[in-house]
Amino acid sequence: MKIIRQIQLLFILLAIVPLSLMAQDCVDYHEIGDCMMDRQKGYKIYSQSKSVSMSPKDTVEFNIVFYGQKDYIFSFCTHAKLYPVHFVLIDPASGDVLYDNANDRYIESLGIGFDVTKSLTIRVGVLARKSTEEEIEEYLGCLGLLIQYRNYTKKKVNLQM
Amino acid sequence: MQCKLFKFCFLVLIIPVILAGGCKSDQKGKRAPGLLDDSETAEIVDRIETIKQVYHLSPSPAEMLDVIDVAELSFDVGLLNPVSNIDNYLDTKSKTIGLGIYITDLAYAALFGRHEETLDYLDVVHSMAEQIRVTGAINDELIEKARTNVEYLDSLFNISNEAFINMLFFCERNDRPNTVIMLSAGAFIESLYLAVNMVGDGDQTDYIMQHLADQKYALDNLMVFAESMREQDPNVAAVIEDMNPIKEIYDGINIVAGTTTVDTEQATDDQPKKLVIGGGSKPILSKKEFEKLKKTTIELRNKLVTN
Repeated sequence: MKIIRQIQLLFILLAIVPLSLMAQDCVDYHEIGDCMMDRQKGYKIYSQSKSVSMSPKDTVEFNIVFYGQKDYIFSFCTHAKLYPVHFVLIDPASGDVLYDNANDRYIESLGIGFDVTKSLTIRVGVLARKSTEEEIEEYLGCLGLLIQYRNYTKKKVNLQM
Repeated sequence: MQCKLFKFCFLVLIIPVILAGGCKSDQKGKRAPGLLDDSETAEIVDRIETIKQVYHLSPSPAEMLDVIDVAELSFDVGLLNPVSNIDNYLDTKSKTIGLGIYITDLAYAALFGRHEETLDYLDVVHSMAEQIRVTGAINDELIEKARTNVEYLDSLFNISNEAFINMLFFCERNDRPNTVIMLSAGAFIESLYLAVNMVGDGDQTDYIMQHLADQKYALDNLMVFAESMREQDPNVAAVIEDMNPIKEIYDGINIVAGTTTVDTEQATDDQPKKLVIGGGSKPILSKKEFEKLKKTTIELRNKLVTN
């Protein structure tokens, strides 16, 4: 009877240990986190999708090659306390900012069609608006960038007779 | 007896929790009673030191080849590295580069829907991956999926891509960036080798030539990544030396300047907001540069496969 009580106590202890204490591995976070809610039929997962461990103090830059004549969908995801995600698309050749999601209320998902092959720098940070100052100093979580793609659909040509 | 059993249960249950707690966690800070508003948070973020992480990523071999419309091209088994060459690779560098070459051949076979070759190359990739201890990237489930989905082109493509992505995940989890560099270098050279050999007199010649020129971006990213590991691993330094003649050709090609255009399409019910990016600078490969690239690529690739 005593041992059953002790085992019960152990299970109760385990139940109150936060799940987040369990091993956290960010490598495939984009394939298991919120990003997967944006998964679209007919799109393939791009191998340059990437997840990293980061804190609100970090800025991450992804330099990614996008092939032309394809539609891509970028989806960013992170832990609840690290939202919103701020991302900026930069043309590395000119340094020009092509897009900043701060102007779009920090949307987390964006479609991009590339007419020609292009290299792009994606600069990402997390604003952690639901975190306290202490948490911003110490918090470390996963950031995922899921990229999906499909070929441009061939345009139908209407012959003018 | 009961005490021993209790201790055993305690250890079995509590040790994994303690170990897991040692990994990165998202709950390091204590939760404070009040949350900050937006402006306060922004101020904090502004004043704390920013740490920058930079990643240079390269496409998978399947994605590099997928841009070519194979419908008008014929499968050429003679271009592939024979599976029998697997015994040529004895050291870590040649095995890892060899794996990159074979996984590209797997993608090529999958792209053409060649069932038999796809399964053969999946087996050889599985074997090579195990030899360099990139275990689990190609598991029995993936091989079985390939066997049962042989008639679906997309499935074969996805399987070859999944195998590559699994390898990247494994290397990242096990802190093996040097393996990723050697693997990617082998894959890059093999995909370049296949592409230069696809350039003929057909309708796609101009398109493949542009694709080859565009590989400059992928090579630049790969070389930056490799340079970051040059000092840590002599095998990576050797790979950089191997790749340098190709890098020099790409560094010399003409880049036509242009202005990047961005058009916007608003979000719909099932699609997010969309940008369409066009224009911008464009690398151009002249006929002479192509011939030089072809010769250099074939020489390097043959050196790597014969080891």
